[in-house]
Amino acid sequence: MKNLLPLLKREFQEHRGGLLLTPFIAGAVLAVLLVLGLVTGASGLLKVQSTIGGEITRYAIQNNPELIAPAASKALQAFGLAAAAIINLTCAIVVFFYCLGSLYDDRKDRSILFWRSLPVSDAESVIAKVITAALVAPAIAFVATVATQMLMWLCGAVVVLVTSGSLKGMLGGNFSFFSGTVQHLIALPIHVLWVLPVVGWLMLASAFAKTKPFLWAVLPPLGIAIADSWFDVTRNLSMPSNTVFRLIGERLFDDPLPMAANLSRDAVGLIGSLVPGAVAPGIFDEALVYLKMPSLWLGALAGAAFIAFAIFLRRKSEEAY
Amino acid sequence: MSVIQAHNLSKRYGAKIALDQISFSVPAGRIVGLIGPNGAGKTTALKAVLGLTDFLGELKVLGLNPYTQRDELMQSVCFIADVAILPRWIRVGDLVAFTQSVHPKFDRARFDALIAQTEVKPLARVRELSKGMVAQLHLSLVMAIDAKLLVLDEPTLGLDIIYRKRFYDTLLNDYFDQEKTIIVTTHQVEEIQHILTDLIFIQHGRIILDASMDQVSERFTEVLVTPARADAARALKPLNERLVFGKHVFLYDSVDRQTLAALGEINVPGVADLFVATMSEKAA
Repeated sequence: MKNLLPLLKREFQEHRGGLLLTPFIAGAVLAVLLVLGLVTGASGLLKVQSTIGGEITRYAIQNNPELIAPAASKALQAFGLAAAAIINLTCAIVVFFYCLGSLYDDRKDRSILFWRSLPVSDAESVIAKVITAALVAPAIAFVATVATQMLMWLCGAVVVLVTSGSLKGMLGGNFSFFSGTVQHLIALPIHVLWVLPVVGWLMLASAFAKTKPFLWAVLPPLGIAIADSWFDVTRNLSMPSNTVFRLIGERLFDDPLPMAANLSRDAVGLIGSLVPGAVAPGIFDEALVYLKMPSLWLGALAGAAFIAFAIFLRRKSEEAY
Repeated sequence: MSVIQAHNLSKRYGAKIALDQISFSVPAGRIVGLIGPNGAGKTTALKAVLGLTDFLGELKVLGLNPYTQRDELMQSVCFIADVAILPRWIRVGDLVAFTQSVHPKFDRARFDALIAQTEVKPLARVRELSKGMVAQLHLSLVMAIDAKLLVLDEPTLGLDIIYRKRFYDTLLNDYFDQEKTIIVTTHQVEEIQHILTDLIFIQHGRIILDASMDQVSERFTEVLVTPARADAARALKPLNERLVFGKHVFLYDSVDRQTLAALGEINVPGVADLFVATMSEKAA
């Protein structure tokens, strides 16, 4: 495994656009949207408005300026969470296409012959790609998320400072705006295990397909799931009906990283936990729930098997020559 | 010790036999031309040598089984399969840095000296380079690796004559020595015949000629014969006969030179003529 670092570097160089630029651009766009919203909202707060709502807001603010900071802080937390979800979703899309191309593109353009002319084993190359998909990509997305959230917080703080004249309450008792960050960081290694079967399957399709890895990746599981649903295969095996669909759905949408799809579920808990002081004890609970799931470990095992098979196929591939 | 030792090496793809029990050995310090028509089994033989395919029979490259001990073998073997295989997205500098970090026998200073003789710039991406520059880059990379065996499969395909000539000149002058062995396949045989030390002709998965260039010039003779003497020449069982400007050119294998000299002007045949002659003879 001595070649792992150069291989990871190579993957990063090849996919710099998707791995690095995409999450940061997504974050920048979200921050700009927030700023636009803040500017509109703040100018509304500062201007004397003729509407009843405006009057009430202005009255409330003029009399209780200390309420602005906590309110803004909560709003920013929701924004920050949404930003995390959107950046992670973007990252998931990048990873999906990265995996599909990972063991296919270099066979197609025959550069695999150059890579295989170097003393690098096929296992090393494939494992570097797995690490890139399962860990490097979401880790970069994590950094992009934190950067975006900090930018958002700064923008929000400026608005709060201008409107209320004080930042008191913005940096709550335990820096609550970033509490999601710690949870996000803890979720990363669990995410690696969770996503391994998906990454493994996509890379297997990528290694197997002579053309159209996308179809090889998507159609077989979809077909099996539909067949299961129609003919009640899993129910006849005394399992709940639609088990295949459920398994796939669970794998895609219950990722421990904050994703758009499980935002609704997490958001309730997270926003509740953003109240200063309430976060700390709950932070490892989510992680423990995952680590106790047999499906996490079974899935990781299946992923490892897919990856081993992909390595075997790459070792055997000779159609490129 | 032989660099390559093959005994009854076979490979079939479905019903098609690509290699039919071939045996050959290549000692160190040779430049071997592996010559054959399309589909003869050249590429299959090279794939087997490079551990890119499994095979039947015995094959040892540098004492290793190339298929099962491939990772170890690649420390000492380099190959250029075609000019188009360098990854197009990569920057030259990154490609060199990667090679340097994974290849223990890569000599960076040597590469820098070689690439300085070309137009290739480190910040350029491979896809921005011309075909000839890609070939120069690949050759510079490979020549900076102190390998024992270098396999070149049509390395100059699609290059113009200037690049082709420079490619082989550099290879011969700056790379080749007694410790190294080169195997090369190409359809432009006449361009490389002066650098070869050995010839292997392959057809229908079988070896039809395996000889050193010295043996070739001893064994084979070409005679220019006037039409009047053509029948006498045919009686000596030539491998091949062709007409050039109204004269008959006969090619003989292991026929006494003095006998032949009586028929007409004698020459050592070119590899291309020898190739055509032996191929058509076997096909007949």
